[in-house]
Amino acid sequence: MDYHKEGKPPVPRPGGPAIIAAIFFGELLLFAFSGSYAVLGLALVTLLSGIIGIVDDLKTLGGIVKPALLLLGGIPLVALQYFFPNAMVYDHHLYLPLFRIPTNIPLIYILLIIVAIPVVTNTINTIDVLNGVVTGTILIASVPVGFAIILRYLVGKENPYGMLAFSPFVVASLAFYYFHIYPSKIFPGDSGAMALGAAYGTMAIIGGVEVVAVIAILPAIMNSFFFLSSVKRLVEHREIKSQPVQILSDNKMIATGDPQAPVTLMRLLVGTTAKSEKEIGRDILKLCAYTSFLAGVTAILTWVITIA
Amino acid sequence: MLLGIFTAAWALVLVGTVLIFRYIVPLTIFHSFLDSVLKGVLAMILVAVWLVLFVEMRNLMIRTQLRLVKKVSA
Repeated sequence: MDYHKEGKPPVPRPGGPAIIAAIFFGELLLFAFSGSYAVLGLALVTLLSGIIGIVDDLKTLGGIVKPALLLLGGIPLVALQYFFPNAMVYDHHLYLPLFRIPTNIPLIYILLIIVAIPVVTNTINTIDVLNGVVTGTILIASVPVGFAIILRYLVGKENPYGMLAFSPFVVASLAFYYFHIYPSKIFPGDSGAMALGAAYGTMAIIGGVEVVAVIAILPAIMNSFFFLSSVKRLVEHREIKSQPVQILSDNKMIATGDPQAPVTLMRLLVGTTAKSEKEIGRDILKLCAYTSFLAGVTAILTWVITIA
Repeated sequence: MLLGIFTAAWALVLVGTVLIFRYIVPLTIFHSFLDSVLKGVLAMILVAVWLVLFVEMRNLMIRTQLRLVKKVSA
């Protein structure tokens, strides 16, 4: 049901299985042609996180169980690198803005993968608040990530499969966005949002563009941070009794005055003026475009303009 | 206001990442396990300071909005 529209029309969900299948089989086909284990890793992480999402769609998982299960998401990448050490599934040299020489963190990087995949997956899932927002966010954030991967390739620090792996993921997101854009004809559900989040996080790792990818999804990260810092515990959003926004008679939304309600990005966007769902969605995507621009600047500072 | 917060968040993420991965992680003073303890403590202090800064930015945003709402309703 679409709660933000007049009459609360029914909308089919979840579209996640279609997203998972598109990314998984697209990447699998690419693996068959390229033999790149990084591509296989992307397919497996998406599948595993997507399956956890499907379980969440069918039987709502708790605020602690879900992130705990998602810790499994990064295992395929670490396992592939362990069993095929020459396959270069990921590069444990972390490239930082302004520094030409990367920091070598072989052990910490494994820990980062295990933690980063569930964090990004959950973060992307929490921005799935309005029609077209999660798919739009992923698509906009993919622009600087793709740009950074190309820059990395141009300076000779990336294999071409990192760039190729990007295409099935972006095509699947774009195809789903067509149906998810306001007014949505289908919702991705937790499975779709989590599959997109896991694929995005994996793309950042196998592409070696971690910092750029984090900055591009700052609106989603800040939304998660605002929520967690206001409710002060890991909790499923459905369990929250006080709503951050209320729907007015003209279907516009405005922040509630309830001090118990969690602080979210949407609540901050309608703090002073009531806005329609379309306007709020557009504002979130504008913020994402701005942080994607900052991510692009970060990519230039990492691979073009370096001082040390 | 939100754009300012996101620009500040970008700067904090950049500075924090560089401080942790460029300076704290490769730190070697004692040449023993104490180095790992020191790195862990320094990284945690940095993360705590950064979280406080993010919370303050969020509170600043909410305070500004409340002031605006009061002004409009007055």
